[in-house]
Amino acid sequence: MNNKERDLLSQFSAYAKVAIKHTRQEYLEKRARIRSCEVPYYEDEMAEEVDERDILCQVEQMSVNLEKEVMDIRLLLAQIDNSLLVQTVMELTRLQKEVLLLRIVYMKTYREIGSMLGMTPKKAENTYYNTIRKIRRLMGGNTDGI
Amino acid sequence: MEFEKLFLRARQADKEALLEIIEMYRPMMIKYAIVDNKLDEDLYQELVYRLIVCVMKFPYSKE
Repeated sequence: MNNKERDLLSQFSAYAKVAIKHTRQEYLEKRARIRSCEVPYYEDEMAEEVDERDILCQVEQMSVNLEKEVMDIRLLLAQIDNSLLVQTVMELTRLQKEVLLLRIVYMKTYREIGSMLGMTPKKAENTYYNTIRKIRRLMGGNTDGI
Repeated sequence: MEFEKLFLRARQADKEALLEIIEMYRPMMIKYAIVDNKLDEDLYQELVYRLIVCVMKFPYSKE
């Protein structure tokens, strides 16, 4: 191996060594950054306990909501004498029933209905009128009235 | 084989020459790929990739 060869080998080795050291440093820093952002995972038992409590709360809330919903629907149906109308109302979607109930039984404004159901007042109004139109259609009437 | 020839062949993306250079520098890469007394294989891969980039980018021209 001549001098030129040795120079190339030693220069390239030094070059590669510096690059490899930098790569290692960057890799370790990146790994440390990722690890610092990781959320620690707690013991299974603890997680299960929290889950059970959460699920119980959710089920309780759901049953309360369901009960309220059933009561509300009964309230709506109690005001209706016509059996065909009752049948028609039962065919409506949940959202349509809710809007109808809030508008007719609770006499809420569209703005209030919108904020309660998480929609714009215009959407609430459209849903209400579409529901009315649907009821009319289902009962065999036309869009102008029964 | 003379290193210069090997190096120039590797720069032409000759697979065998590249593998030979990787083999030459393997001990150094293993040394730097050890983290917490354990060989980090991902880091080793990064180092091999870096070595190949070095071969391609090393400022050298045959006079």
